[in-house]
Formats: sequence, C-alpha cells, structure tokens
Amino acid sequence: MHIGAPSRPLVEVGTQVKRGEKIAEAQGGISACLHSPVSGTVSAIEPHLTASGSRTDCIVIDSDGLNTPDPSLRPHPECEHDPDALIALVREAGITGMGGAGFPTAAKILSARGKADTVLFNGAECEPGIVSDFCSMLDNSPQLLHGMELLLMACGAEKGVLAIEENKSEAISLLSPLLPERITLRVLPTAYPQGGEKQLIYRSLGREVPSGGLPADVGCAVFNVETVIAVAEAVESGKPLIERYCTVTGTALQKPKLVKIAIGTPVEHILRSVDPLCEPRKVIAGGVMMGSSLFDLSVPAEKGTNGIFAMALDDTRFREQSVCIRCGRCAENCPMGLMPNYLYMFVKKNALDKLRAYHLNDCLDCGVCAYGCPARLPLNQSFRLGKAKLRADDAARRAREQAEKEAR
Amino acid sequence: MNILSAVAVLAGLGGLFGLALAYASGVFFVKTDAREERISEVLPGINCGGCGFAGCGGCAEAIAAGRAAVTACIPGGSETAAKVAGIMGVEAEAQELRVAFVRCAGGSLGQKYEYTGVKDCLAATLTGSSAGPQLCEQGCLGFGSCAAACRFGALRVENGAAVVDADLCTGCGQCVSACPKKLIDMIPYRAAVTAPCSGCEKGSVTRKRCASGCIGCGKCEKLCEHGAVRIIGGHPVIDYAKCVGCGECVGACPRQLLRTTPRFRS
Repeated sequence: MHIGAPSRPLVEVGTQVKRGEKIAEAQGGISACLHSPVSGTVSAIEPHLTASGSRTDCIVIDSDGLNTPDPSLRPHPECEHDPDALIALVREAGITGMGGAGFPTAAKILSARGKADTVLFNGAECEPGIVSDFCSMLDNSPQLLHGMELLLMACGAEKGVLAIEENKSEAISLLSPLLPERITLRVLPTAYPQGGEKQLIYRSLGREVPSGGLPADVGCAVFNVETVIAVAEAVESGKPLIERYCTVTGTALQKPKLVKIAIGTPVEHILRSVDPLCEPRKVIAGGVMMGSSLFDLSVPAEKGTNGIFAMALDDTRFREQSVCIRCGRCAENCPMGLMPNYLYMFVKKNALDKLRAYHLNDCLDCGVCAYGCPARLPLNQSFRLGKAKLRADDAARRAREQAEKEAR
Repeated sequence: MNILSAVAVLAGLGGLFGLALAYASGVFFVKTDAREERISEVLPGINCGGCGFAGCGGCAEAIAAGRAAVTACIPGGSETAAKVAGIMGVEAEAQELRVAFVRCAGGSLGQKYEYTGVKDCLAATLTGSSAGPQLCEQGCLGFGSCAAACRFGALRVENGAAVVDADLCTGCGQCVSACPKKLIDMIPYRAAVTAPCSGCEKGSVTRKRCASGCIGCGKCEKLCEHGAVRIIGGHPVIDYAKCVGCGECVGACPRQLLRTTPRFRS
C-alpha cells in the first residue's frame, strides 16, 4: 500500500515465487512495483483489510521458510552515473518514501530533477517514540553515504543536507566525520512534527514551501534516510524494497523492540514475536500522532509502517470533551500557522468556502492541536472530515461543470 | 429671499441628477427575461438545491434560459411545474413525487470496535474501518448526517438507522449526497412495499451481524407473480414499475424485512 495508483499483479494463485521477485507492476507515473518478501507459493489474490481500514486487493504468499533469493537480482553499477537508469531502477525496485506517507520515490526524483539545488536527507524521526530512522542510520552508514551521493546525482543537485535531531548523538558522531564535502550535517532541536517535509525544509534551510506547492518549488527535495539506504541497496545488490525497520513499542508490551520486518507481515505476527503474551487495548500502525488505529490485527505491515504502538487500557481512557475556551493554544502550536479554533467551527457549520479561505488543505494532520487542547476537542478528526468534504465538493463541482459543458 | 435661493439650488440639483440618472439607466440597461422574475415568484423559494442550481433564483434563470426543464423544481411537484410551464408556454408532463428511502432497517448486533470520535457518518468512515464501526459493512451508521442535511426535518435516526418521513420529504435529494455509504434512494411516494436492506453477505453471515438483514432465502422472489421482487447482490430489490402492491412478499418474509407503506392507496 502506498499513495498512487494500485499496481497490477503479475502472478497467479499457485505461482512459485522467490524472495525479491517482482509480483506486481506499477501502473502510471505515481505508483510502485511490489516484490515478494519471502519465497513460497501464492495462495490467494483477494480483497484484504489494510491499515487504512478499507479492503484492497492483496497477494497472499505462503512462505516455504527458506527465503530463497531470486537469482535474477544483480548489482546495477551502470546506475552510478546515469540518472535515467537510476530512476528506472528505483521504480523497478518499488521504492516508496519510508517516512510514513509513502510517496513513490521515482516520481519524487522526477519532480525535483533540474529544479532542486539542495537535497535534504531526513533523519529527523517523523513521530515521537519512533527510532527507525535513527537505527537505520547507525546500522547502514556506508549505504546511507552511497545513497546520498546517488540521489544528489539523480536530482542534479549540488548540495546535500543531512538533518538529524540533537538527541541522536551516536548518529551525529558516527556520521559527521564520514560526510563528503558537499553534504553538510544539520543538527536540529528535537521536536514534533519536524519530519514533515515542509517543516524540515523551513527548519534546515529557512525556505517556506508555498501553500499547495511542492518542495521542488523552493529548490528542494526531501528523502527519508531509510529510503536513501533502500536506493543504495538496490544499486549495490539489486535488492528491491521488501523489508524495513519498524519500532514496536507501547505500554502494553513488556519490552519494546526495534525489528526488521518483511513488508506484508501481519501486524499480529509482529506484535506476538515481540511480546507473545501482550494483550493491547488499542493498536496503532504508524506513529501515535498520525497513525491509524487498527480494529483487526490481521492487516499487513506496509512500506510506510515505521512503527506499531500497542497501548494498555490506561492510555486509551476516553476523556469527555467540553467546549472551546478560546485559549488559542492550538493556533499557537500549529506548525502550519493555521487557526484550528476557527477551522473547527467552520467544519461544524459546514462552511466550505470559509474552510478554503482559512487554508484547511494545508493542514498536515499532525494532531498537535488536538494533543494540546484543554477542552479535548476532536480537532484533528474534524479536519480530516473537513478535507473529505472539500474533496467531495470539488468532485461535485467538476462533475457539474463537465455536465454543463456537454449540454452546450 | 434666502430661503428661495436655497430651494432653487436644491431643485436645480435634483433636476440635474434626475437627468443624469435617466441617461445612465438608458446606457447601462441590462436586458432581463421577464419570465425569469415570474418563474421566481412561482418557485417555492426554499433554496434546497435539489435542482442542482444555486437556489431558486439560479433555477429560475436556468429555466428561462432554456438550460433546465420546466419540471426542474422537485419539491414544487406537478403544481409548480404546471405554473412554470404556463409561463414558458409549454406543456409539462405530470410529475410523480419521489421521496427518499434509506435502504437499511438498523438492528446491527454489535460493533467491530468502540468509536468515540466525531458524531458524523463521513467522519466515522475516515478512521478505523472505512465501512464504519457497526458489524454490518453495508448498513447505516446512524450518526444522522442525512438528518443534518435535510432542511425539512424529514429524517430521524431510529433503531440505529435513519428513517424518512415520506410526508415531510420534498424529494430534493440533499440526503442522497450526504450519505457516505450511498444508502439513500429516491422511490415513488406511492410505493407499496419497501425493502430496507443493502447487505451483500451470505445469510449465515448476516444472521450473526444484523437482527433484521436479508438472509437471501428468496421466498419473496418466488412468490411474486409479477416479477417485481428480485434478490440482487444479497438483498431484495423492488421494481416499482411492476409492483401492484398485493403484499404477498411482505407476509412471506421470515425476517419481517419487507414492509408495506400506508401511502399506497392514499
């Protein structure tokens, strides 16, 4: 699962697959290929529940437990100096952004090509409690350095900036002597939501991405460090994106762990392997702030699943909401400079033009407003609702205009 | 003397401005269709948006310009259509009043998870399961987004599902677009039988999830001599063009799902 068009399966029920074999082909520009993370037999291609809560066609593979690698995977030295070959390889290897949102990386490189003068490498964890970026930097520093060079070459950028939060001192001391001259290290204060593209660009470079714009509009491209490592691995050994780091934590677990998971592993299996006896009251895939809570643990971990939070009963107490006391804390804390207090009112009143005028669509869903709200208003969820209403309104308007055009 | 000059100056100014205004109204004259105003007067003036234009004014403009049919106003019904047709100088076909109908009778036997978020149907589909928290994946969520969209107070939530009061419903169709689960249909006001279920699961699954849902036994379909009831996609679908209102199917339904309406013979 990732943003963009769903991919088309290349296998049938009963097909034998090897580890790393391509099992689904990308469709269109913003889409990504899928690869088998295990060796085994395809047992079903059917709609299955995913972390987003909807049923999507999934390929179910019964593992034979051998993890036999696909023999056709080989290093791609030709991609070292050829941007086109590298973009094709990144697309073929099914690499998507691994910070959480999961935008296909090949499409991102293409959007930044020739426009970006600086490439940011995002080592600032996307959410509190997650250490996936940090540990992947420590474990794979040679690949990280190689991948950063590759992406700079692919984007045609001169400078690179590696952004790490100040509490990750091991990563800073390990990487700072190794960085080449054109990549600078930027140590950022530890804060949330800093892993968001727009926040990271502003914090690291002082550039502000315009409303509705892309990082490329201010000459930037942002890649998560784990994505960078995946790109390097694809070039060095031909390995597609089939596994990732995942922080498994929360109060319901005896001992939280950082695990490397095969993409597609059911969440239940991951939880049980970390703590076989855990009985969580609530499980969240992704981070605590922006992740989606799961009601069925059979959903597969996805390319963007950087964390799994299992909460005990105490953490899920539902507190009664009251009314807005106009303290303004939400507006003070909003990283996008929006006014959640007004937006909440407009969503309640269904005032769609006001929502547009107050830039609801710039909201990045970080949840800081709702976290700090003394009245416990469901601000974040209201904004998701408001955005869905705006989308429906836009679609209805387009349909109406189309009908009018045809009538004429 | 003083007062006379003041009067003369004011009268002169008044005359001058009057001439200027008369000239301006000639130069800036906007040609309006006289029919538009008359149509506006006969439309109900409730601005429900059911016609697809911006309020009754927008509808009148569209009818006068020939962009909309004389029958465009749904809440107005045949009466308004006849008046509008008279203004436009055409014949209006008789309009059958159609009312909203929710294809779910409620009765979910539980929830997949505890939902504590915003009490809005669309919001409930954006988090957790995209089908909502109740066990039946197709059924009504019962948060009443349709009732909030209705300007005529024709919808209320009962037994966990929205119910339409057909006598208050004007057929504007605002609730149809407010339902994220697409459960609301427009049916004839005089419909004899309704089938409030949209489930698509097998009978054994439905029994576990819902107290009133269709189990697909097909008795209604077999009994109907007119071919008006068919089980399509796991629930009964009534063809109102064929239904004669005999009520055979209603008596046969083991789940008491099919219902007669009091409006049929009215």
